Amino acid sequence: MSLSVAPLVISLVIADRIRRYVKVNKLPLWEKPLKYILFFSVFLFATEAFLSANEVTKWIWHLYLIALIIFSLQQKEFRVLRMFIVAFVPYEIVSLFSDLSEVISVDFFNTNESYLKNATSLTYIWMAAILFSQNRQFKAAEKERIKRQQEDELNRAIAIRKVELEVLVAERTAELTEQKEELEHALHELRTTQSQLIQSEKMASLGELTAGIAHEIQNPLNFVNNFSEVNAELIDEMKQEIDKGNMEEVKAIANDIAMNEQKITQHGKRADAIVKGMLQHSRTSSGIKEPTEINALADEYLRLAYHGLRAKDKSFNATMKTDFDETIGMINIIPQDIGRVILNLITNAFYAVTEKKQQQPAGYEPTVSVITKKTGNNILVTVKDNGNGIPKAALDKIFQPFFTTKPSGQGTGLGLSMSYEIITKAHGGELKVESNEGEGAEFTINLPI
Amino acid sequence: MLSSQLIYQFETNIYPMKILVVDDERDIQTLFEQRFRKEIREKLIEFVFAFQGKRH
Repeated sequence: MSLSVAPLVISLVIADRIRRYVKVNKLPLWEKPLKYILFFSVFLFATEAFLSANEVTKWIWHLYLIALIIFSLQQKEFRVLRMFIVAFVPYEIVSLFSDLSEVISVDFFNTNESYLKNATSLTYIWMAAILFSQNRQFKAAEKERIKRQQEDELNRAIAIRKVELEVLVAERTAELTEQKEELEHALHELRTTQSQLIQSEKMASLGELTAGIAHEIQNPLNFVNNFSEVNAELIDEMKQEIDKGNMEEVKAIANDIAMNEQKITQHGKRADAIVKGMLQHSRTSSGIKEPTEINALADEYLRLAYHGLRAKDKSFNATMKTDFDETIGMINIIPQDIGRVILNLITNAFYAVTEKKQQQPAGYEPTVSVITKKTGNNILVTVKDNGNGIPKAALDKIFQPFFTTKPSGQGTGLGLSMSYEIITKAHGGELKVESNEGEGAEFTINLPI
Repeated sequence: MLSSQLIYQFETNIYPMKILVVDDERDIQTLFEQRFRKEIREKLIEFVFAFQGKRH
């Protein structure tokens, strides 16, 4: 009488193995059947032990184990476990054969008992070997699985982080886009304001010019009017002479008329040129360099500035000195722009000498000089005054936009900064200033040819 | 009015009347010489022109 320990252990081992497999591979459908298997094994063993009914129960064990093995082998889901289950097959076959032979032929059983025992031992070894190797494989697989799981988790964490980052990036991008739009808007406004300021600076200098232009236009117009009147008189006189038959005199008068006619045309053109120049000054610069007589340009603006100030203030007077280098000839510049710079420098010079004149009228002779000079590959245009000069502290700032020493409302503070821009950027030249406080200032434009 | 003045001066024997014209416009000379050609011819007026203040 012996208890069926081996079948119990085998059934439990199979059940346990399947349970682990089911757990790992998440097959919840199998949890209940496995419990039944467990219960049934324990119940069968308990019954056997309690009733000492080994002779009966060993057949139930055989049936049960065969059923369990066949059933497990048939399930597609447990294909991986087949090798494991096969480990128990030889034992079952040998033990069933041994039990059957005992019933069928006791003689055969008795004579071959030692063989049967050996065979059973072999099946145990077989079982142990397979279980051992299976266990190793299983452990390796488990390791692999855990590793994969960790990787998956890591990947999932990375994916989550990625989504978070993407959201962050989107937020930042939106923020930046908004800021960019704001900045662009601000920049646009600044540009608009700048161009408006430039226009107002142009208008301011045009205002300075207007009086000068009026004076400059008045002269040629006077000539046109007076010469026409003279011509009318001459024609009357010529008619009288024709009546008298004094042809010599008629010819002389006709010559005079022709000459006067020329003068009229000449002065008409002069007025025309002045108006055109004025329009050119207020117009946006063409930005195109053209051959220009810098001496004529400087002279023109010197006179315009002078007469402009004279028209505003009758008491204003200043000595104008010019020293033009006649060898310069034509140079390539943007005439409107350079004209604007020269006008600006001259206007400043006149302003400076007027200020000083008001402070110390006695013995002071206001003088503004315009000098042009050709040195090697450069043209120098110098505007010099003997006014109050520029304080050292202000000297660094005078080319900055909006810097002005004039009382508020009188200067835009853009004249010199625009001049600086025109000379350095558009013409690749230099605008330099030298000043001794109290003695005057000297601005020099250096233009490369 | 100018010519009546000139006639007055002519009658009072202050002739030829000398006038200095100062202007930087050169054409002023031509204009004046034509405008007052009769007066000049009749030696009522004599013009002197100055175009600048420099001494020659």
